[in-house]
Order: sequence, then C-alpha cells, then structure tokens
Amino acid sequence: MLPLLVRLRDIDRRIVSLLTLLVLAVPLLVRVPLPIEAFPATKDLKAFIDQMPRDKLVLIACDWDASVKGECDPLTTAMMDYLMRENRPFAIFGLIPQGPELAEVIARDLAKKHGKQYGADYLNWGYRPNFTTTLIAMMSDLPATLKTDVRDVDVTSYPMMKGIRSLKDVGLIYNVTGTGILSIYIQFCGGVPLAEGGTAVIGPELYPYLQSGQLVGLLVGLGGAAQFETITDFKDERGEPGGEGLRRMGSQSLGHLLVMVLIVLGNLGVWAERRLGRPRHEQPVDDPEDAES
Amino acid sequence: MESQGPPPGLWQEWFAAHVFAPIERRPFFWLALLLTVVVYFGLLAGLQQLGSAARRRLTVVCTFIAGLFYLFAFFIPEPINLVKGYEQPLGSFLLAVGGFTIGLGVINLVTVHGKVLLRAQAGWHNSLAFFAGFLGMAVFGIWSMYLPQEDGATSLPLAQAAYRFLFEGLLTPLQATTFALLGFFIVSAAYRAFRIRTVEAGLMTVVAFLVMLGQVPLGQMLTNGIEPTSFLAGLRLENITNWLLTSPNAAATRGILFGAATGGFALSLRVWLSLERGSYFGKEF
Repeated sequence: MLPLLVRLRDIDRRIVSLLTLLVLAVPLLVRVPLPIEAFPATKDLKAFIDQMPRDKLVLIACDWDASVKGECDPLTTAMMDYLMRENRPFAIFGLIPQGPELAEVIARDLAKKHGKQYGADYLNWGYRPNFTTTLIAMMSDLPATLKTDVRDVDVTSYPMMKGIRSLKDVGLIYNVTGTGILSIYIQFCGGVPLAEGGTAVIGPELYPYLQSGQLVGLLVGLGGAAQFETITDFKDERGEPGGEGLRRMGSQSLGHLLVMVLIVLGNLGVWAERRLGRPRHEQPVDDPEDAES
Repeated sequence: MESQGPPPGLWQEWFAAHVFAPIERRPFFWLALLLTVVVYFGLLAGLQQLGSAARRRLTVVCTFIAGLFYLFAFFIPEPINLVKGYEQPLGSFLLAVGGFTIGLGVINLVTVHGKVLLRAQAGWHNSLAFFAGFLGMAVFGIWSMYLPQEDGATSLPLAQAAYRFLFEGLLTPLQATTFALLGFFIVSAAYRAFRIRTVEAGLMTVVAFLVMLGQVPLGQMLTNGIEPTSFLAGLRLENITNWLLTSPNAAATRGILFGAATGGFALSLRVWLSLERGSYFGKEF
C-alpha cells in the first residue's frame, strides 16, 4: 500500500493539467445552478446603492485589461446590469487604457437587453493617463479635466452630467481592478463613497479598507460577482437566473476542490515515502519556506 | 447639491484673462503659436548648453518646487490656500505630457522593430507581426473614431467592423488566454510545492482549505444544514471564511500596509529632496 501511495507525490504534470482543463471546462458546458451565500460586504454594497438618490451618478472605474477579463467582466456586468434595471445613471472611466473599451462592450450589450441609450442612461468618459494628477484634477474640476467623452462630445452637454462639477458630486465610485490602484482613489478621492470589485488575487489586501469604512462595499473575484448577481436577482437574456459569475461557480468550485485533493495526495505521497525510510529527493520548489510563504 | 470648486489661486484670474485666454483673431493665434514654438526650442537649446552640474541643480530645484506645490495644495486649508486653484490646470498639463509618453513608447518600439526588420535579423517575423498589429489597430482605431457612432446599428462601416474584429475578436481573447495559462501553473505549483512539514504550514493549509471552501457553492453546501439564524451559524463555512478574511487577514494586511506606507513616505522624501542616489542602467544619478 505504502509504495503505491509514494507514487502520488509525482503525478505527471500533463495529467494534472488535463484534470485542471476538465474540471474547469466541463461545468461551463453543463450548466448546473449552484446557489451561493452573499458575504456582508456584498450586501452592504447593494444596500448603499439602494439608499442613494435616484439621480446620483455612479462612476464605474474600469481599471482592468483583458488579462483579468475572467473575473473583472462579471464584476462589471453584474453592477452595470443592476444599475440599468434600477434606472440609475452611470459613467465608465479608466486609468488603464483597455478598461473603458472593454466596459463599453459590456455596456453596449446590456443597453440592448434593457433598452437603454448612450448619453441618456450611461456615458463613457474614456481613458486618461497619469493616475494621481488626473484624479486630483477631477476632484477640483471634472468637466475641465475630461472635456469630452469617447465620442468626442463635450461632457457638459449631457443632461445626466448636470450638477457634476467635480468627483465629489458623484454618488459612488465602483472601482473594478486587478491592480493596487484602489489606494490612489482612497488617497485622492476623500469624501467620495468608494466600493471595490477586485480580483481574488488582490482580495486579501482590500479587507483593511472595508473594516476602516473607506470602502462601502466589496466584491472579490468571481465569487463576489456571483454573490452580487444572486442578491440583485440577475437574469440573463433568456430570463434564467444568474449571469457569468454564477455560471462559472461550478468551474470555480471544482477547481478549488481539485487543488485541495492534489495537495492532500502530494502530502500523502511524501508521508508514505518517509514511512518507507526512503531518502527524500529534493525539488527546486519543494521547500517548506515556499509552502509557508 | 453641487460641490463648490476651490477658490482661484494667486493671480489665477489674471492669468486666465491675459495669458491663457483663447485667442479669437486668426493672425494673432498663429503668431502666438509660432512664438511658443520658438521659445520652446530656445529653452531646449539653452538646456543643451548647460553643464552636467547645472542640469542636475535645475532638476533638483524643479523636483523640489513640484513637491512643494502639492504639499501646499494638500495641507493649507482651502479658504486661505493660494495654490489649490492651480491643481486642475496643472492636472490638464500633466495629462498632455502623459500623452507624449505614449508617443515616446511608439517611437521606441518602431525603432527597435524597424531595425530588426530592415536587417532581416533573427526573429524578424515577430517584428513584422508587431507592425501588422500596430498599424492595423492604429489605422482602424483612429479611422473609426471619426465615424458617427450609432447605437443598435445592424451593420457597421468597414473601419469600425475591422477595429472591433481586431480588439474584441483578437486582442482580448489572446490576452485572456495567455493569462488563463496561469491557472494551470497554479494548480501544478500548489500540488508540487505545498508540503506540510511544520505545524505552521499545517495551520496555513487548514485555513487555506476553509477559505477556498467558504467562497464557492460546493463548499458552502457542506454546512448548509446549520440554520443561518441558529447560535451555531458562526460555524457555517461562509461565516468562518468571512471572519478569517475580515479579522486575522485584515490585521496582518494592515501591518504590511503600514510598513509599506512608511517605506513609501521615506522614499518620497528622498526623491523630493533629491537625496536618492543610485544608478540606472549603470549610469550614476
């Protein structure tokens, strides 16, 4: 039995990759509805939006590119869909070049779904370089800093921009990102309610801001998008409950399970090897320090 | 209620009326433009004549003044702040400067790949792919910018269709696919590297498993039997995960953030006061 267990420490990486592919791809093809419980931070975000005055503009700061589309797309979609259903105006903006372009694609599709119009229900302010100075200038005088939107139209000509003199007049900034850009919003947009939709990788870094009250809500990764879709009763084009976030929860569930099973198997193999008294053959990454870091 | 902008900065209204006012009359506009270009190139030529010590002194002075501006803008209360009003014009100026940096990047890329292509060096086909992608995106992107955008149009003009194909059909999936490969490496690395040899590593494994299970429906189902309103509700996996993330994790992360912020503050002071010494590509600065 022990010699058999020893073999578990060296499963061929091609088998590991194949298993990963299967557990991630199959649930995407076979749709199984999996309910998810929302975290308090998700519920807080919805509650904050619900208590905002109807005409308050929400700024969706899309600071992400295609490399994190898997998580940031559902995080953006879930929020835009809810805002459109609630008839709340929003603007797209980005300090990373691809962000506003990718968000525009989402907004265009959702506008068709909900019968909304560019300029009347949502705007795209586009990309601006220089994180810090741009935000500082927008906090002073927003129309003078932006001047035009992505369609080269004066931003002040849109009725939904009435009353927006600076970022301080925005009801909520919802920042979607896989970077550490949130700290810049926190430093330079004091007094403006902030919420974050971050990738799972940066998730742990975001919780201190939630606890200190600097974030009014937080969605982390695909799970955060799925939770928001659940509590806002998201329906897809066919009227079925749940969007991309919930749809991908099957893959994420099985992916997590696979990682756990593989870790257990690898450690069983190491344990069996020690029981047999065989010398441990070292691997470059097989270091307890690595495992703990 | 609309927010009130900051009060105008020192002499800002005078500058707005006399220096930065739009020039309506054509001949004067071209004259002003010509004068600006002459002054710009004159300044550039003057700077070239300076010795290295003088250039360094100039950089130190400019860095200090720029840092001082934001120090005053942030820490002096608004009613008596004489520079706050200049934040927005300065931001617009830096936005324009930021735009130039993109141009610099383009020049650099074109130079590097152009040399490889012209000399038919190894990997020239990669440079050709760069030019095809760069020119395709630039031509169709800029062209489609100047076409009217119609919501819900069933057919698109050639430029917009080509741009959408390149951006949404090529760049986005390529970039997403490249990053998705990371998932396979993470699974493989977790399997090979995560060895439980110490108590601390064992504790971390248990916590990692709890957090991973508590964030996905399959994991949450394990404790669905516990009523959300019962006194045992804290033992539901999603609640354990939430506690782990918002309490022990937040405390540890805050410690790291404090350390990083202190380091960042020290570094900022060193840069502002030009105390930073080091080398860049082997060149001392």
